Amino acid sequence: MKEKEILLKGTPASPGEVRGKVKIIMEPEHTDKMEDKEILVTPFTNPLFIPAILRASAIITDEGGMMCHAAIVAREFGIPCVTGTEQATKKLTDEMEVIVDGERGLIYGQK
Amino acid sequence: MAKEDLFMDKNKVVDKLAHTIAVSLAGVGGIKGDTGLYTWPSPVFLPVEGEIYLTSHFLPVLYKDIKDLEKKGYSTGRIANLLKAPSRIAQTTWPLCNISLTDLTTAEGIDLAFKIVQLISEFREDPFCEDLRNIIWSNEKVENTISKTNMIDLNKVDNPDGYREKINRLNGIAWLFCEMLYTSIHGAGHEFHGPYNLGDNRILVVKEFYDLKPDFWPFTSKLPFNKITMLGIYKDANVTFDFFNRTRSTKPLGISLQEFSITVDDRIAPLNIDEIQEITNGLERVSNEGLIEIRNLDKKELMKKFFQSYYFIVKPLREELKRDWWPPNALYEDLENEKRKKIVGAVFADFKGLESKSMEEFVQIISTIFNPRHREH
Repeated sequence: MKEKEILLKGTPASPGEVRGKVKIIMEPEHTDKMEDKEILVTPFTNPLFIPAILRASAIITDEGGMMCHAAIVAREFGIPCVTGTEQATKKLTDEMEVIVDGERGLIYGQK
Repeated sequence: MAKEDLFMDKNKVVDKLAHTIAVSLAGVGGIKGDTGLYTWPSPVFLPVEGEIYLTSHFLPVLYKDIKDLEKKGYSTGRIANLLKAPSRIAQTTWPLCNISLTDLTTAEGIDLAFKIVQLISEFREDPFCEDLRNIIWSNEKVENTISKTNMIDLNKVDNPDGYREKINRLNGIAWLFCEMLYTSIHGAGHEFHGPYNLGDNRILVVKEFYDLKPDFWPFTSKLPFNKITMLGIYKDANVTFDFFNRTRSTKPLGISLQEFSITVDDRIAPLNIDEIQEITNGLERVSNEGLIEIRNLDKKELMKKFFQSYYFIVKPLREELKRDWWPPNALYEDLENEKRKKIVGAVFADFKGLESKSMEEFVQIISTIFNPRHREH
């Protein structure tokens, strides 16, 4: 097993740990690109992101905190969420495999 | 403080209301991106921009309707029941921040804010949810409801996590659906209440999603139900509620779910697991149709929906008085003519300044803005 490295830190907004592939969605018009069980990475969420949220196994956002939209929604759906990473949409890339630790607010990659 | 004591001093009630709104707006984890200021329909427009247009029309209508019903002999309790639920009534306090744009006098503004709290108080043990609980049911009602409801015990079913996953998904899509319909005032479409202490570290939380087919969103007519009620008994869970019905839990509530019951509309028998999936599918299908419509709305069209969601709250009062409940044309004309453009610009500039304030300063400033006693802010 490869060693994990911390790629990003943010607010631990909804606990749980998920490993999966990143899908960066900058605009709600592109939510149909999201595949089942991918990890939604986005600046923020709102209801226009519903199709992507329904397929996501976890959510990572650039903005927000414990009470932002993505955090509330992730807790309602019971999926991990890390908010306020500031640069997830810049540092992560599509298809990248990461681990989302919603308990600690950490995003891991593999060395 | 006992309710009777609270309502002895109108000014104190209004001050407390303004402070409660400010604390709720400040959120809990920092100002930028976490306050109620930037919620949907942001980034299309900030809720406050819509409220700047709305207030001069909406608040006088609300005040006049309440006063006219009182003149007809309606009690506070009867008016409150027409408005259905406390968190829905709480949403009508957002426009108070622009009360200086109305033709209401300072005394009338204070009276309106006071009456709103009184109406909420008809349902809630504490109208402000100061202890972060939203207690609506008496102990007796809690006991009766649990004893009469055929709750599904997750400790006695095969694959309890499968059940939890289905319930979480229904919960999540119902919440998003409410937000899609009612935008920033999504509390107009749900009443989450509790936690009711059942002993042995167990709590009951009730989630009611209602008016899921409001007439200002025609696409919702395809939804085969109008209300979902979810009763959940949780063990070792922590959940809080604020004045506007925003809930917070340190972990997803679904993890701690022990027993549950879900019903739709007035059906008495709880749904089975396949029926829960059907309800979820129905919400997802109608949500997707709604999204197509919403994405095609421009800013002004979406703002008209925002106005309609506010007027929908007072629809039962208007109909009781045999008055048209839809927003007046004058409001739409104000929007088309961008009548409030200068004020919107000034408020946005103020918002920028708020981002650099400490939480205490933020709460103090917002408390002043929302207090009708300080209408010349």
